[in-house]
Amino acid sequence: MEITSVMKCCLKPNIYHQDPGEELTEQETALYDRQIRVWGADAQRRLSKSHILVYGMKGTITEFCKNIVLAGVGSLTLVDDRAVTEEALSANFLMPPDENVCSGKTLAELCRDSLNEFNPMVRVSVEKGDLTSFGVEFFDKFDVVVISFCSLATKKLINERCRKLSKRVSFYTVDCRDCCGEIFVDLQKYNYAMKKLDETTECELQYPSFQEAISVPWRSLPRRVSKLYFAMRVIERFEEAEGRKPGEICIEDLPAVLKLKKEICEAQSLNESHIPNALLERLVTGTREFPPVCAIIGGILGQEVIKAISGKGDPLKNFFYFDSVDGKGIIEDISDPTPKG
Amino acid sequence: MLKKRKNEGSTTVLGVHLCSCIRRLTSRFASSPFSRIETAPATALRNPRLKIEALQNHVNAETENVFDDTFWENLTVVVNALDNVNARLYGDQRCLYFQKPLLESGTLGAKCNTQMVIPHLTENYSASRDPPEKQAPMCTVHSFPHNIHHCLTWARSEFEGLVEKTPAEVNAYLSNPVDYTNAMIKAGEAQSRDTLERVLECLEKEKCETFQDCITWFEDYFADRVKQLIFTFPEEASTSTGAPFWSAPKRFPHPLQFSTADPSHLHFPREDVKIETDGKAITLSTASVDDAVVINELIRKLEQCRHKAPPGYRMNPIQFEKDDDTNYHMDLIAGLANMRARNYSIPEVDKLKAKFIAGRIIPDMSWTVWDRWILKDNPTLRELLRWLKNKGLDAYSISHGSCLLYNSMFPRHKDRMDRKMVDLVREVAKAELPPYRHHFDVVAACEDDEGNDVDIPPVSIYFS
Repeated sequence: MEITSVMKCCLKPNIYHQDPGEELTEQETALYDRQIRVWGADAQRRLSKSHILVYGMKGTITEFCKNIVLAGVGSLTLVDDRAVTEEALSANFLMPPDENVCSGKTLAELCRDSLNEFNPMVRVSVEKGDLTSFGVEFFDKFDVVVISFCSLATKKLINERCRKLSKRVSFYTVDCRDCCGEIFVDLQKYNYAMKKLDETTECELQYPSFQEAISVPWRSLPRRVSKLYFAMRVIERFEEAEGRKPGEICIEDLPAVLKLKKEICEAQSLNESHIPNALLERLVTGTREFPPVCAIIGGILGQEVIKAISGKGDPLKNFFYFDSVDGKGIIEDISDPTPKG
Repeated sequence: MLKKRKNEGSTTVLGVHLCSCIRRLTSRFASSPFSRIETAPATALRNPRLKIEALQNHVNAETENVFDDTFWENLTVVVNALDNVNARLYGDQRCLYFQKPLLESGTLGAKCNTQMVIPHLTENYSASRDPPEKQAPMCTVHSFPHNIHHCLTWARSEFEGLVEKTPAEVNAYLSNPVDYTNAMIKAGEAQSRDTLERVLECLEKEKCETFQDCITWFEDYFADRVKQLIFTFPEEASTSTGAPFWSAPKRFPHPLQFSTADPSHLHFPREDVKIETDGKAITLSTASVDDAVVINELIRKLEQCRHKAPPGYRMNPIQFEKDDDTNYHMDLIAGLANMRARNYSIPEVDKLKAKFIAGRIIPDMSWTVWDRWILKDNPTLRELLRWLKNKGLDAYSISHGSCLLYNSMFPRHKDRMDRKMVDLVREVAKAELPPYRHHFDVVAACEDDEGNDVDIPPVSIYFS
């Protein structure tokens, strides 16, 4: 069993207010010169002290990993015990094409080997086992947790574990199906300096958990909310109800999915037209990821994680959608507007 | 630039510049540091069916023997990842001619864009140009900065003037004094006079060699000039409407006292840059005379300097190079900018941040020849102001040379409203306008409707 190497722990709850610590080494300053000019040495220092956990080594996640490894995070821990499949090869560019190299290794191990070469200054390691069985103290080692292609139950579970910690662990989920994708962000209580013209003002954002967000009644959401939000929730509920693994769905399931959509819309007092059948059909049949969409979603996700670690830039709150059919990237704020007592 | 070939599933990679991530991604495969292009075939390892051909040639009009008709005709689509507009324009023209789709892209800092150019469907890349980047107005940069960008723009401009442009002008004069001076005489304007003054000042005064010289230079920039400004516009000054002159976004400056105790002050003497300067503030006589006469006088003095200088003497113009950490250029610019920021109580920046901002500034201050605006028919001051107002400009200050003709904050200047501009120039500015002269130039400082400073060219006023 591989043990992740000893890592420095963040002792204070909010990384943004934490002193970034030692200076960057000369090597780091030279390698990261171009990006330091964009986000500053201070942000680079924070990145180099950050620890990221990633679960589910599919196409989008590999894009994300490439981005943050090249950006120079402190460490990256990968979890995915599955063996290589044809499907994995179709969207995961970290897989070596030589099958002999692949045999005997898990997806996480193969990705780790490739990512190590991208940037030797980042500690990339593998954690084996079932993520849902790891206790709260395991997540305490990380500043950022990103999970991909998880069931509804897993998303809620991991999110709650992150929230139980005394320090803030930023939590992200990402799912790409057909040629579209969804990112969910939970930064809990997030303070940052918002720049407007020549001034900076301190801002505080309050993020809902995944559970809280999806519990917001659909009829209270604005009319123009992305249809993908609703469609993803229907698929999520269907897979859970049928005891399926994420993505374990096909065209034959479509009638049952449409029936479920009808039920949910009725329960939520939402007009069915908000969730076009054609969209559900796409999500049901296109369970494989589409590489260009992985690049876009993985890019946005990388950017968001870098923002959260560095404390620079306005973070996305709290859902992001991209659909290559119309080329639009949309941010939806799905949170309960009523303040809690 | 990536070009996909038809039918064969192959890709041709051209050009030297790849984006930062790809640079580092592929550099691990590179056998030599400058063969990034050759690393492109390595990416084919991920997809063995993809054939990649890597070429080092630049793509421009000179390489059309390499990138000939057959090359272009065989392409399916062109993807850009270039670092300059000219290469993009050339590529666009080729794609237009050969009717190939072009996927254009670009990044700048944290920003990026992409544009699809599809034959018979969209406009081509060259059909629209970006507007020039908004520069801070001159008077903001020269006298009323309110953020570090203004200070850096000023510093960048001063740097260029001091160590690049002026020495280059001096060399132009020394290399060909007759042609140079004849050209100045022929132009006969305030611009020529200004240039000659700088050239003379450069040649005539001692080099900044001693520590004392450097301190004097420091005091000129950050004490004397500020004192001059706040003498003209004191802290409690108000405009003619009674509003405070120094209201936001203007920031009231304070002169700096040179102190060896302050390490940032000591940076200046340490700078190993050849700076030619004189030891005191430049004060032009307020009694300005005909430019032509002054120009002749300046040329005479220049001749004297030239004969005193050793034969073949030339200066060494230095071009700004921000990425060389050993040349002190960024140190000087950051130092100038931060001291100026200190004058105006603006937050200072570290050298890295200064480097990023300075790298984006294209200095274009007093050295460029502006377009001129022309106003005829011997206008009065009121008519001039109204003419500017019709252009959406609120002129609060009009000057001729270094002489102030009108400023909205002086109530007594209201008496001048119905005076002819030519009379004001003769009486107030004491300008001698010879019989063959039919016009003179004024500089107007203006604001737009929202109170933002707006830069305009000099206005040529024709009075006969």
